[in-house]
Amino acid sequence: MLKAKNSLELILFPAFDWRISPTHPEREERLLYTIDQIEEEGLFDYENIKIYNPEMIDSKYIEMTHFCIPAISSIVTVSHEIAAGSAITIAKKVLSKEVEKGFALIRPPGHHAHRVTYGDRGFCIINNEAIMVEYLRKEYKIKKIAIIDTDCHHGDGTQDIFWNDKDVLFISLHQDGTTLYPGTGFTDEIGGPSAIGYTLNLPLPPYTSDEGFLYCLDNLIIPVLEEFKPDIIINSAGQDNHYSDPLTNMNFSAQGYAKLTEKLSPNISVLEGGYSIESALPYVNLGIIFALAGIDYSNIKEPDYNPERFTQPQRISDYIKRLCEQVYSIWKSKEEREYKIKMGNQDYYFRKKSIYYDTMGFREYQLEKIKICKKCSGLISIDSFCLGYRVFAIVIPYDACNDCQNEGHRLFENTEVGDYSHVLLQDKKNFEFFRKPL
Amino acid sequence: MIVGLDVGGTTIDIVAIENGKVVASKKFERGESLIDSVLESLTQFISKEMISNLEKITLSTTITTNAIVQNNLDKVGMIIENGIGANPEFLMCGDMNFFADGYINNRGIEVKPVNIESVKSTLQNFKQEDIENLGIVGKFSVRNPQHELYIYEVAKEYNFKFVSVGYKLSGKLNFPRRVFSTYLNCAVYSTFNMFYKSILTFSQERKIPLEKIFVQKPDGGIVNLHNIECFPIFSILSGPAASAQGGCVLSNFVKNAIIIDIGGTTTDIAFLSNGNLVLEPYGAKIGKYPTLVRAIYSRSVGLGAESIVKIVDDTVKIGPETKRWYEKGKNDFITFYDVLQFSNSYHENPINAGLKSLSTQLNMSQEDFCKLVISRAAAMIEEKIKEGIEFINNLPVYTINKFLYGEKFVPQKIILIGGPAQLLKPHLENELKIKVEVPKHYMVANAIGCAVGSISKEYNLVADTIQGKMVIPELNIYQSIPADFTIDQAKKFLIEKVLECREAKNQDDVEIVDESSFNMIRSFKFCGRMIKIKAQLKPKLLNLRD
Ligand SMILES: [Zn+2]
Ligand SMILES: [Zn+2]
Repeated sequence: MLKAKNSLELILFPAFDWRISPTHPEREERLLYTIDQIEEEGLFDYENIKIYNPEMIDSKYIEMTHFCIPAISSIVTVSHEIAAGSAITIAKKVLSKEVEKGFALIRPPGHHAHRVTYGDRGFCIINNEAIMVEYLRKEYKIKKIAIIDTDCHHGDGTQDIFWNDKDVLFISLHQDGTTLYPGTGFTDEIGGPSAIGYTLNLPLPPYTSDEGFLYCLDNLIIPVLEEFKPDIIINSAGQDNHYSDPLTNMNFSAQGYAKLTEKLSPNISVLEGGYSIESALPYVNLGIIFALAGIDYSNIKEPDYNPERFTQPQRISDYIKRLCEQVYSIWKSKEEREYKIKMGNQDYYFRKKSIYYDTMGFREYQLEKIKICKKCSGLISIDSFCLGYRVFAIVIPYDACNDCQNEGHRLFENTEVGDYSHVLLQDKKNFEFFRKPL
Repeated sequence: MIVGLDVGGTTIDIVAIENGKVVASKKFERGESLIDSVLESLTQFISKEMISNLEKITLSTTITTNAIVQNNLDKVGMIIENGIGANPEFLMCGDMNFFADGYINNRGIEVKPVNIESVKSTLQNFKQEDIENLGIVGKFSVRNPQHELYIYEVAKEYNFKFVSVGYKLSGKLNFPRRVFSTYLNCAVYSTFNMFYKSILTFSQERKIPLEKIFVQKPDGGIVNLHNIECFPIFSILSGPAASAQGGCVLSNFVKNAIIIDIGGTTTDIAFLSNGNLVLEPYGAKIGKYPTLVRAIYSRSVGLGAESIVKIVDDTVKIGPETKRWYEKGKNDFITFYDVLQFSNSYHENPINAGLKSLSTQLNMSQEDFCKLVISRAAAMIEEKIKEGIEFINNLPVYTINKFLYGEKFVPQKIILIGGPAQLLKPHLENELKIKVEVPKHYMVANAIGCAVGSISKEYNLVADTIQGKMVIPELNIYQSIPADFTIDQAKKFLIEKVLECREAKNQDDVEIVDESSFNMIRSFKFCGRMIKIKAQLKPKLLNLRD
């Protein structure tokens, strides 16, 4: 039997019987050709490539990650629950050392789902990676986690959830927000007062090709990872940077994805977007799987691939070089910047957000208030208004000091339901969730 | 009357069944030459009266399996069109291999034509190197065999003795297995042909029409000897299928069970789930080669009646070494069978010297020592059962419906067959805490399983309405369809074709086991459907009434 260099776990859950609408790009057909390609390639026959079925998620992990409005049961579909459950199954197998690496080929994706979620944004309702992080911390006491988001769209949901969390380094590579949904992910989005520099964004110009992506990896992502020293690396492996993707304008190839995966060497990859289901996904997914497993991927090329078509213009290369330098200096100056904030006379840090739910066509208005605390990362409270609901959500962080923890509970007790439709509290320190009855 | 013959490790078992009753059975010693032994035992067993009302004879033999394991194979040249994917070096299974340029994609669309000039010069080379058998395999050829067939046509001019094309062996996707299956199909050609010819002579001499002679396949189904001539690989590994099937027909029907066949050297374990024997997801593995040959899923333990019991580092070890009873000389070793016999009767017999010596080494009474050996054996079996249950319960599911409502496999009983079954039964029941049933005729259950096999086959239909094409590789059907073709039309068509080929007698024999229809969207617009249907001939196992 064939044997790969690294043992690898795959979860292949195409959810063939689920779709948003009959012509929606996030559809049943999405993983069909990938599964064809994987089967024809005989991947199930490698003795150390294992295929597992997902598990159903325990809703506790959803409520410790998200504030689902009006309720989990009314916005989260079975399909989303299975996708999130898959992320947990993968985490279990990798953390228990049953396999070295894991890749969840699941749909729907999750990286656009914010902490407060009213429904579908960019085909995401709940955040698969963020829920997995919750699980890793609770069950495996993992401290330092790096999430590298290589989807073509900015991973705004993941960024939102770990905005003020220094233990989670979030780096997103994406097509520049002035030219693509969701319109965020600029270099000045660098994290909350206690986690400055732990959110890094690399907005790339349209038509960036393999060269540009790999440059970012070599010159920014890998050096930063070496300094951060994460206990685990998670890749939000979106595949819509492909030159044939209908929703985006990038020039990444299957070989490029494979090289990126090999260099990044994530412990866990989770499929995000990717809508060129016929010309890209079968080859890109195969390339990623081979790279994760340490199998020679040099013969994986799109049938129509012609590298000359995708030579990167010099101005793009120059821009990317400057971009990496700029972002690296943010990373380098993070302590200094945090010190300035903590030593200043400001008590709170505010973030005003207007979040557009593209799939459903409505907008959420949010005010986030983070306490600037010298002993912990600080209590968070969110005032959110959307679809006629008014939500007051409190987050007590993992590392909360006693003051912040007590203040969180007091705030919850003293907030009247009458003023809000929802009063909610996540006590991450004690892994408890509270909701005031309506 | 139907006759079943099973070639085991040490014996050849034959049974005759009439009106659902076993009317005769016999065990023959296996001699030097396998073919001679088979013919000899058939000649002795089948009387003139039997021939007059003979319906069929089914043979399960290890002849092709042995040829592969012993590397007694023909020289084969392989033309492989590997396309895009893994580095193809590991596919070089032939004596000479050529990687052809060309590619057909997963939808059966030609992406790059085959470079026929280089193929021609390769064929020339093969002939110069005295290669007589040729295998032709392309990636995604089951979605469109055009390239394989083109090479096949060209190869005709070179007069190879035997040519096999990949897409005909199975409709399943799995390119490496298709390559290996095609290679093996070519490599066992001479061995099988020798067997084929001997049986042909036998049938002519005894005036038994060839249409009545069948060979058992590793999926438990049977195939007429005449039809298997081009697919000798289908005769591999039929042993576990015969025993699993034998166990099933001899016991009272349950939905979920484990069938254990304890033989002389090994114990084979098969699984009955939802009333069907569980199959390998792709096919059998033979020697070092994974193949696409449909096969029942079975686990094997190197534990049997003739396994030697010994002590290694203060612990009991059983097998995998074996000794035949007549090889026993000075009572200096004991077998698992001896232990079973002693535990069931505790009578004085010649084995006691050996038993005494082993039990003394562990400071145990002979009774306790035997108990230890048996619980060790039960643990070996249990481990494989657990592997099997885990395997079944982890078979991939691709739909939410199956994920949520799919039933878990929980065995209701063990069906135990094979020589020492009666002796092992109480211990296994006691150790594994599950009901164990030893059916009547457990000694020749394999041959019975072989006799009762029915024709079994799988069909994979793929229809693509954008291209207006439909394929059913197993029936060699490649034809156009209208743009509004539906899944119901596809099902109807498949069933009709199976009936037309006379592979099924009526509609109820064809079972749709998997079906899906995907809307294909290009530029946010519906533009066609991808329809996939998997059907099988329902195995019709005879019910034995005694
Ligand atoms: Zn995306
Ligand atoms: Zn604090």
